[in-house]
Amino acid sequence: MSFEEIYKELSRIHRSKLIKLRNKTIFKLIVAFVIVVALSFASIHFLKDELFTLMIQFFLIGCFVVMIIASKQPYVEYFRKNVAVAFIALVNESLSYSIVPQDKDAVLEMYRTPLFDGGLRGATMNAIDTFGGSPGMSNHIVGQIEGRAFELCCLYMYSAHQKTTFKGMFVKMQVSKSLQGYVKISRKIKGLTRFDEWQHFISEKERTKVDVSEFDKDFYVGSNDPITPFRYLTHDVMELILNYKNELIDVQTRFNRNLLPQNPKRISLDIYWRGDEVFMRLGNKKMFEPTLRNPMCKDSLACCVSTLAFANEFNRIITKTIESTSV
Amino acid sequence: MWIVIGIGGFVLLSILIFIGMYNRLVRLRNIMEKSQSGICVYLQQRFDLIPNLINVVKGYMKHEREVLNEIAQLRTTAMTDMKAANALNAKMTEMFAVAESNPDLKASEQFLQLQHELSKMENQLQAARRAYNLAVNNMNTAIEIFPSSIIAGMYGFKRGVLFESAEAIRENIRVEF
Repeated sequence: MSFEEIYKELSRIHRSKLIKLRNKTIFKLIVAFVIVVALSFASIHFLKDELFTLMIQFFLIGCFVVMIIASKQPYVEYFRKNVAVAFIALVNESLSYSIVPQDKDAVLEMYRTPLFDGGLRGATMNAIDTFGGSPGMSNHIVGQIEGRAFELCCLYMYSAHQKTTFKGMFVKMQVSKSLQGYVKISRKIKGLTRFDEWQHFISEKERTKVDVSEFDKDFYVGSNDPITPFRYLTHDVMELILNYKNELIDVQTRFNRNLLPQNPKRISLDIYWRGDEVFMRLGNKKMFEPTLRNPMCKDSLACCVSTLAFANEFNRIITKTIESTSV
Repeated sequence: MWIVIGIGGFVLLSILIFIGMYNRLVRLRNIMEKSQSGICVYLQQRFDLIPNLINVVKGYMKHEREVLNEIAQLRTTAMTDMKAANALNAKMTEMFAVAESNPDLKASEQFLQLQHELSKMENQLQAARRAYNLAVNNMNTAIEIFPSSIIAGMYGFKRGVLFESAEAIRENIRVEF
C-alpha cells in the first residue's frame, strides 16, 4: 500500500475520534485559561502584598502550563497507541512501535556514538541528555528492513548549556557494506548557528569536496581520508541523499499546518557512516504528536515513510555496488 | 600623508592577495600530485594480483592460453603506458567472461578470493580516479581564471590531464578464441 492509501485508511478509522479528543482538549484549555485569568485578577484585586501577588502569578502560569500538557495527554496518547501502531504495522510488518523505548540508555548511547567517535568526551558528553526525561525520548521504532537492523527514535535533547539542541528523529541502520574508516555528511544550512555539540560534527581537517556540484552545494562531506568518500559516495548514493532531502522539504511544505511551521530550508540532516552502521540525525522537530491544527499528523507520518524508504533504497544501492565485479 | 598611507595599504593588500593566490595554486598542485600517486599505488596493487590470478586460472583454461599470455605481456608495460593499461583492462574482462562459463573455475575458492580482491581494487581505483579528476579540474580552473592565471603563467603552473576511460571498455566486449 502507498503512503496516501495507508493515511486514508487510518484517517477513515481514527480521524473522527481524534477530532473529538481535540475538541475536548480545546475546551479544557479554554476552561483552564478562564480559571487562571480569574484567579490572577482575584489575587491582584484582593491581595495587598505585591511580592506575594507576583509569586501567585508565576504559580498560576506554572499551573496553566501543567494543565496544557495534561489536557493534551489523552489526545496524544490515543494517536500513539492507535494510529502510530497501526501505521507502522501497515508500512512494514518487520518493524514494531512503542511509545517509549524500553532501553533508554541504549538509545542515548546511540545518539552519542557519532559524537564520541568524533572525540567528544567528559562533562560535555555526559551532559547530553533528553529534555524532560521520558517525553524527550518517544516513538521508538525497531525491527528490520530487508533483513537489516533498523532503529528510529524521536528525541528532544538538551546539552551542557541547558539549551534545546535537537528535536527530531534519530536513526540507526545496518547496511550491507562495511566501510573502512568513516564518512560524514552534513547539510549546509545558511545562517544556522548550532548551539550544540554537533556544530563541530565535521571538522576542517576532515572536510573534503566531492565531484558532484549539486551535492557539494548542499552538503559538507568529511572522512578520515580524501579517497574514502569517493569509494562509497557513488553518484547513485549522492542522488539518493539529495532526493531524500528534497522529499523532506516537500513533506514539510505540503503537509505541515502548524501556526509557526519550521522553515524546510533549515531542517538539519547529518549522516555518519562507520563500518556497517549508518547513523542519521534529522532535525525536523517531528515527534509523532498530533497538534491542534493537524490531528492526523500527516507531516510526521510522511517523514517517517520517507526515512524508511530511504533506508531501504540505500541498502539496495549499496548491495548492488558490492555485487558488481567490473574489472 | 593620507595618500601615502592609502597607496601603502593598497600595495600591502596586493602583496597579501598575491601570496594567497600563489599558495592556493601550490596547494592545488600538491593535491593533484597526491591524487595521481594514489592511482599509481592502487594500480601497482592490482598488477601484483594479476600473476596470482593467472596461476590459478591457467590450470582450468587450457584452451584459452593465448588470452593469459597476452595479459602477462600487457602487465609488464601497463604501469607506464596508458594504451597498454586500457588493453589490459579489456583482456581481463575477456578472461572473466570466459571464466564464467567454466563451472570448475567458478567454484574454486582461490579464484573467487582473487576475483573479490580485484573487484575491491577496482572500486578503490575508481574512487582514486574520481578524486584525481576533481583535483585536476580544480587546478585547471584556478590556472585559467583571472587573476590567478597571471600568477600561474609567471611561475609555470601547468594544467593537469583528466583521466579518461578507455575506448575499448566503452565498446561492447567480444570474447575471441
